[in-house]
Amino acid sequence: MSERKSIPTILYVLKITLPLLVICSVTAAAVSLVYAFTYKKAEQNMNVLEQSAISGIFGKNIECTGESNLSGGNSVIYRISRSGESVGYSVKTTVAGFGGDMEILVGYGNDLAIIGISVLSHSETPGLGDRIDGEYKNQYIGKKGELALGTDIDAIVGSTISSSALISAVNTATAELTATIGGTK
Amino acid sequence: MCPTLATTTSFINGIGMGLAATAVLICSNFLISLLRKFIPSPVRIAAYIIIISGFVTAVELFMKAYVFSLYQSLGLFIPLIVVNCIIFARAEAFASKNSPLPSVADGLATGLGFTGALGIIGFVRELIGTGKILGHDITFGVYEPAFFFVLPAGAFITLGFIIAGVRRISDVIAERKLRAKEDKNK
Repeated sequence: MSERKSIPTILYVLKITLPLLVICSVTAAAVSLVYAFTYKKAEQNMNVLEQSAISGIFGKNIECTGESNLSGGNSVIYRISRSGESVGYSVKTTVAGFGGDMEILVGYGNDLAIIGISVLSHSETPGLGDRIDGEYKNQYIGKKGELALGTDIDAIVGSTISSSALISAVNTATAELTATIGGTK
Repeated sequence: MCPTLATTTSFINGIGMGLAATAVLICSNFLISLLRKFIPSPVRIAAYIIIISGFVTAVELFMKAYVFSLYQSLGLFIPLIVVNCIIFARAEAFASKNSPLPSVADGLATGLGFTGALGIIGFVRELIGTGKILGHDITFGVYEPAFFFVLPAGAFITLGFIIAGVRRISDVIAERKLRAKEDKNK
């Protein structure tokens, strides 16, 4: 403490803040460097995940052609065909979940009935909300149009927000797909 | 306590969180110990936070790119570990005052103890809350699960009982030691 009397205040402040500045700068630089080196590969991984999610729902030997989203939303829509014949659509949507963003991929048949859902990424609570990524989502298969929690779909006990997020994501996907391809064929 | 109680909804989740926390503990103790002469004491907590969260973020980015399947299973735990006070507690109590090698050992020991504790809590909560161990039903449908235990309130209750049990055991051990000493002096 007697140190304080012999060193002027400015110098003392610098003595404690400069090392902190160095630590901040070095850490920020290091994290940015790691990001620069890894973001391409991370993106690739997500694309592979999306492709395998689509194959998981529709099967093999399919072609995906991009459709421009006419609804004004941000979903990524593909028309899925096999040997030139349309078999359905896939819509990738992001919505806010309980712990963070939830990205899902919904597969629809030509009649806009849901064939399958794949949860690409989520930040829900392990053991509770993360059950949306399992047998729970099979409830959605075969359903059409806008769905409501409680009537069309059961929620997960103890994870209302995660369940609501999933159904809202599916409804968004359905709405944007319908707006893009113009209603049930 | 928060991330601890949130991730012990089952045995495997508790163990997973514990092991991930152990890995971070070892590395953060190592880093903080290396830098202990450089970090000024009045701002040390801020420094720890920056170093630890920077390090964990870098690890997360690396995992997203190169071990994607591992990231998909463990990825949720990683941000939770950063806010886990046990990391800071060990940095402050040990790593900032000792050299790197003992700090690594301290990180490993604390981490494994933590993993054990989480495993026990997760085991109890999974058993009472869902009637299953590691996802397998062991009561053959006879037991009606008390789902309450998988929710946060159940976590607090489980933790309370475990703490009570641990204190009882340590009291008994202390008593025995005292009695043994008295017997020796007679």
